[in-house]
Amino acid sequence: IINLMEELTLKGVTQFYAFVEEKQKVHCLNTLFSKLRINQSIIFCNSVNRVELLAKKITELGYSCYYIHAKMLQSHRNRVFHDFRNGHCRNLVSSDLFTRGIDIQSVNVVINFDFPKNAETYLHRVGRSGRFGHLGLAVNLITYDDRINLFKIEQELGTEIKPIPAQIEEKLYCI
Amino acid sequence: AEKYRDFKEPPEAVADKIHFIMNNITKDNMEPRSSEIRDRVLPDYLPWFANYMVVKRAAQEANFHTLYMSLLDQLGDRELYRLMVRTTMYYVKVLLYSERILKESNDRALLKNLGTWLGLLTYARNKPVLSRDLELKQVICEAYQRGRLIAVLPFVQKLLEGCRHSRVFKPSNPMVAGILSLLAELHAMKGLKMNNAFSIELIFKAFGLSPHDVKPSDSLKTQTRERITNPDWQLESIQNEFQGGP
Repeated sequence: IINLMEELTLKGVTQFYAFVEEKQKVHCLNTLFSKLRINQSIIFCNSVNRVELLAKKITELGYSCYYIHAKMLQSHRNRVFHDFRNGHCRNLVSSDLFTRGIDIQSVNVVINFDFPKNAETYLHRVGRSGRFGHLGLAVNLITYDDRINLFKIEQELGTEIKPIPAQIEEKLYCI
Repeated sequence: AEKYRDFKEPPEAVADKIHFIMNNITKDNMEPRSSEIRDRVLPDYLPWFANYMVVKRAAQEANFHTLYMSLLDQLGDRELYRLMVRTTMYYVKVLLYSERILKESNDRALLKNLGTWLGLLTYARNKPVLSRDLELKQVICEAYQRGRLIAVLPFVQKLLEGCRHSRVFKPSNPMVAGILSLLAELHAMKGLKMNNAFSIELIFKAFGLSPHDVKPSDSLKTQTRERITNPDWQLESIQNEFQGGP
């Protein structure tokens, strides 16, 4: 197995968590979208089913979003990714289908709607390849059950994920 | 950059709603979203909205400039248009004369983005940048004197790229012609750093020209420029001049 993790970095990415109950997650997402300045965002869920459900739910709430997951045809995935990259929509709800981190310059916010189970997945979702040193913000929605994984992933990656403050300074994730 | 505050802030709920809309606006949902915006910002919070669009959106999100331009068209409010130009002009000037801009590449990126944005607001719509607001030739001359071309030329480049689709602002236009001949003079000077020369070439390219197609002016050679630690020029050219003439 090739270890791709070393090429990804969390440098320039500011990481926060919000402690929530499962049923508060969508509300929390709404709050983030009302407070942050988001150029484009990627919202990660842990299963294909939850990707589709969340995308449907937030589209009804007026979000501009596409979804992408591992069970879609490759040609559809390419189409969605291409259109997202070209800014036809602002937010992408995604499962863990990328083998490497996603480096789209305009994505300045990544939201882990579901917290990943292991460090490698976390790094692939949130990390950037070091060459492009642009800034980013990662917000993790953490439930009671995720608390142990949060601690474990912080340890393994040697990084700090702080509780989200009331105001996030824009210079942390904007130029 | 410092804040430009002579406007009324909306209540938090209104601001949150506008943030939400602007985080989700696209070409496809432009019509309903723009009327939601109109309902919330007109007429009291228009200056606030213009400021938000310039500082938070146009300056930082170059990838959505076209989108935000069509939003402006869709809103179709002359006062908003006027405020956008005025606000953009204000921040352009703050950045053009800030001390930080020579050190901070992020600030230069903001200025470049505002250049594109201002070009789209003005030249691309066949409207001039009035010299009483921003006298471009003078801006270039001052940058030449003070060693700030490294920040100013990319801005001028982005701004003039707005002329590309204009019916009025062609190389034959006196305003454009004046700037091009000034830039041709600068381009021909010995020791100008590659990145500055390259910015100038890009400007000419936007008009389908090269720097050699235009007769250079002779306004810069009579002006003195910063000698010590001037980042716009190659080191050896500075030294040669110190060692005294031909």
